[in-house]
Amino acid sequence: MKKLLIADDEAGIRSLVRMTLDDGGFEILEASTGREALELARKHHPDLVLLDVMMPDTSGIEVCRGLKDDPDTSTITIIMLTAKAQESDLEEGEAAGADDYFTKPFSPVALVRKVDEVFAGKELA
Amino acid sequence: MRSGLGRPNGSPIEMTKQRGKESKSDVLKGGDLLIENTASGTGTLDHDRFFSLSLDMLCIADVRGYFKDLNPAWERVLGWTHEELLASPFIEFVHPEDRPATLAETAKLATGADTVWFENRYRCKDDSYRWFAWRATASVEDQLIYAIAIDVTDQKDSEARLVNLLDRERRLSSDLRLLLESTGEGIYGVDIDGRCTFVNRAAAEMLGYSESQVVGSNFHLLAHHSRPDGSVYLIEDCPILRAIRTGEPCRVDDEVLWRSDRSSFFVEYASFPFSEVGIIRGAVVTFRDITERKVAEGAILAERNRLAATLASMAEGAVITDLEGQIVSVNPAMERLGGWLVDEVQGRPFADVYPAFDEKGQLIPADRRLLSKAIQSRQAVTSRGYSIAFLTRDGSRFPVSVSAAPILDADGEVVGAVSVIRDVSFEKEVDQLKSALISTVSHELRTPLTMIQGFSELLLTRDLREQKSREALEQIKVSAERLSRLIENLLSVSRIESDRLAMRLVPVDLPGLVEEVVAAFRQEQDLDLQLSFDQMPLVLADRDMLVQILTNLLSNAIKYSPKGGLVVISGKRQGPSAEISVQDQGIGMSESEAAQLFEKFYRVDHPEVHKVGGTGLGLYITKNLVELQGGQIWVNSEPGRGTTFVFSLPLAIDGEVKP
Repeated sequence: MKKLLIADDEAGIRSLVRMTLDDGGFEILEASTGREALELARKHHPDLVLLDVMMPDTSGIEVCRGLKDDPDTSTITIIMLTAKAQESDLEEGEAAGADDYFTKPFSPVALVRKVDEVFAGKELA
Repeated sequence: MRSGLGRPNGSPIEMTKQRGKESKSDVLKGGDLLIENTASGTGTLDHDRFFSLSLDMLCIADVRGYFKDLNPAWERVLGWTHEELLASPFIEFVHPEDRPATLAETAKLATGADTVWFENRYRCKDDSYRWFAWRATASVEDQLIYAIAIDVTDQKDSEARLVNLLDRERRLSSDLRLLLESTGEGIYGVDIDGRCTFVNRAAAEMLGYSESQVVGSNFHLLAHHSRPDGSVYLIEDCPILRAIRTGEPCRVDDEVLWRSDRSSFFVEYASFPFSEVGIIRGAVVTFRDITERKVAEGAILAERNRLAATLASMAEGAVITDLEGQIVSVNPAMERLGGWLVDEVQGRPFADVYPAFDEKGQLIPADRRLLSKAIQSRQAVTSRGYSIAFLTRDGSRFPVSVSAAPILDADGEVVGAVSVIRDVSFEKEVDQLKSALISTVSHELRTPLTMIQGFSELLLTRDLREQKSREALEQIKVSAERLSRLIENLLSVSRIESDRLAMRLVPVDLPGLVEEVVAAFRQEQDLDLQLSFDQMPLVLADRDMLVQILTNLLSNAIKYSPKGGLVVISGKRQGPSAEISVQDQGIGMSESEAAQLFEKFYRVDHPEVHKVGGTGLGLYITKNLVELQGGQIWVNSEPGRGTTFVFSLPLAIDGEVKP
């Protein structure tokens, strides 16, 4: 079973992601802070991390960089969740090594498609 | 007479040459023969002496028109030699204009009539003419004319001069009369006693008198007796008469003359004393009605005052420069803005005194300043945004908005420019706050919107089990409530700003209300909240506002507290007030951050604060609500050690303790 980590300080967003991907055969982990996200990722090695950019204590960008810089976690696919599709945010995410991004507000259908895409690509590679 | 002093042949004998009847026939032979004849006959010797000595011109001529003999005076006066004079008919020496009269006179002589006085002009060797006056007689039998001429040229000249002089004086006096009468200026004369000696028509007309009424009267008492305000003008103080006393001319342009109908008009006058043989005899006074000029001057003065008042009252700095950008003047606001007094900057280059920098911090060169552009383009120009920074005397910089316009003269030529400079620090700040608000509000909108959109889509597209549907609907409800709180906050701010916040103060049981608010929080999330209240009387407050205050402070405390952090709410009585504090163990803040905490849109610059989100409105609203109810709010905080908000509210009834 594929493991997916959703890191967002908003409980509502986490529960939305969980409900959206519930039936996709994922094991879903939740983190409400950046630090928590790093811990969980290192411990559980999820296949995919959905990472909110704006989080207390450690930002999503820092988490992303932390995971990508560590050989142990560098293969984890990371999709940044950004509140605003601003160029600067996207550039920052890209620089930190994010594989893709997804803007809020988002449609669950689109999220499912995006996740499927990412995994399909990963299998091909 | 240049050649008149010469002698015909240089012989001294010539001076005593003698004439005689006997030699009459020899005369035709010339002077040489005359000399040969000098020895003959002593009877004519005296006559010959007189002939030679005479200053008048004596001559004998024949009726054919030739001189027969001439005395030396001729040579002296006309400059011709004796021989030259004898060689041509005498008529040829006569001025062409005088020839007919001369011939007529000669013809008359031939008939035996004497000439008593006849004038004609003789040509000198140097081509000038001399006036001769003649007396002549003719001897009919020997066909000779005996004539004496006197040179009356000088007499003629002085006569002509006299005629000229009289003529000139006549013309001058008529010119002067014409001038006096035709000029629009009033002109009159006064003697040393101030009596009017003459007056021209314009003066009399302006004053409303006839000339005869003015002449002979004391001018000061007649038309200069009162000052513009109607007060008496003492004759001792009159500058016109003083000019006569001192001999110094004067010019005055702020007095009035009075008409016969007791009305007055502003005049400019000048008094010129005149003297005869060193004694001042009086003065000539010229004056002009300057009512129109006074009116125009008044209008200009009023316009100048309006402009000065406008410049002085402006909150914006204004700088006026000449065409080269040298400062002509600055208004008081500009003195405050730039720190330079007007006296210190006059004549200095605008760009030097007030340096400006572009958005990159580069000094803007003088020719790229808006003032120069206004002069070059002849059009008003205005800066945009906050891109121009201004350097003051004390070295501080602030953003300014600048506009400049060319100043044109009467011919439409650019003679300078005016630049208006406004400190836009506040606007820039407000603008940044506005951008920050838009950014935070849109962020705050996005999370609940994402949830509403996402959960409703799930409800619509998936066949969710009852429990999940319920969860989705609850999430939608919570999000909607969050949105409405945001809107409520924004509206509160708007009401606070416009003083439209409605308030109803009633006695409130504070601990009881706190319990209610805390219960609502507990319902939503698991919290470690601790309450500690002393016994206290009721407070005077608006219940809804108090709920809003407590909700804001509590949600802040929870938001910035670490997981499991303790939040303590306590209340105690402090004099005539109740003090309520909300204490957390969160991130805390510095003193300077705490100082700005209650400002609108202010958000502590801390990554956590940015991540947590918020509009920066909560504490601003809270502070306003507390103060509206007569209380105060303050904060004690230390970075990393947590924060305590304390607010006070007046007690409802002093001294009454809650049972």
